[in-house]
Amino acid sequence: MNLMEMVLALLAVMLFTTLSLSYNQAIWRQTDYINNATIVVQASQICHSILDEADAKLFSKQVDIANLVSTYNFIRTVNYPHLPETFTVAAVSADCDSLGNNLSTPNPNSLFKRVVVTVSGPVALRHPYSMTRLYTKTNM
Amino acid sequence: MSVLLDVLGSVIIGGMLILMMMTFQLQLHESAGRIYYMSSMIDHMDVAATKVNKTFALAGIGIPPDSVCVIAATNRVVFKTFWNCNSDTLSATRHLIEMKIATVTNPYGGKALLLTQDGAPMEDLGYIFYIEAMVIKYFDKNDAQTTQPGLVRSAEIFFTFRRDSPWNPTQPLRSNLQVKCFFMNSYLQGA
Repeated sequence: MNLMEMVLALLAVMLFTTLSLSYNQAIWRQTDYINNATIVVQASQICHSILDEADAKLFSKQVDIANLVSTYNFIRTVNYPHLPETFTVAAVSADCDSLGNNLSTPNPNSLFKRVVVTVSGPVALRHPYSMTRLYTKTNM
Repeated sequence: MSVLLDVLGSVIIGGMLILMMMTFQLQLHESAGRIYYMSSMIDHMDVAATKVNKTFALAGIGIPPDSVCVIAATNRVVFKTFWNCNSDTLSATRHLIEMKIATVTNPYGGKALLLTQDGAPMEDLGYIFYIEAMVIKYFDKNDAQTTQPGLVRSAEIFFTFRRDSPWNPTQPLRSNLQVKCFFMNSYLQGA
């Protein structure tokens, strides 16, 4: 094998290695997207469950709307038997105006409260998933 | 002789490279198939969770909170409501809604989540397909786990979705989802 043949063989190896890497990378990326999408569905259900719980507790008057901000300000972790990862659930509530903008000075008697639930944690969840609900006091 | 060896060597290397390329192509093809199936499944999971949540939320209309849930089993739930789920309207008669896993033959052979109203499958969401298993945990108004139907105010439902693999039927694709549903009308009556 002369020098030219060796160089050609090396170039061929490089070409096929690059092809192999690009194929595997594409498959890896697609798998990552699928994992992300699956976790997003679960994350959205976590957000729904927290916000629906707030709805239910307000309906039954177990939580007064004046106490919503203090009740739904927490960070907790959630585990599911079917997922190896731990979700971090953060609920942030605030007194706000009718558009959901924070009041410059918190006022417990404000007619509007905003609860934002953010789920993060698993590596497969590429970006934290967030859901917001605006509560209005109607029974005065 | 050396020419023969060169030719043989090139044939072997060329063959290996072609095999490698064929393997890559097949892998890519299979991955694309799985991605296609999974993406539709993810959408299906979301829709199924929304439908189940809605059914639970409309339970117990016009019924005292401690009488809403009739059967609270780990694989089956039956509750009362004055909401007609078929016409999506308030009804003058009381209905019994049941959720359970059933074996279906049409349009595919397998299991599905069956939602019935007074014993007959609901018209628009009677069957939610590709659900293989369902495990339900019940909670009272203070979020303590319970098994007594009279105390049930919310439920955690664990669904296992299953779909045949596009390439290998013996290796189905499974994905799980846990949702929490509330008997909102019971809470509206003070829980």
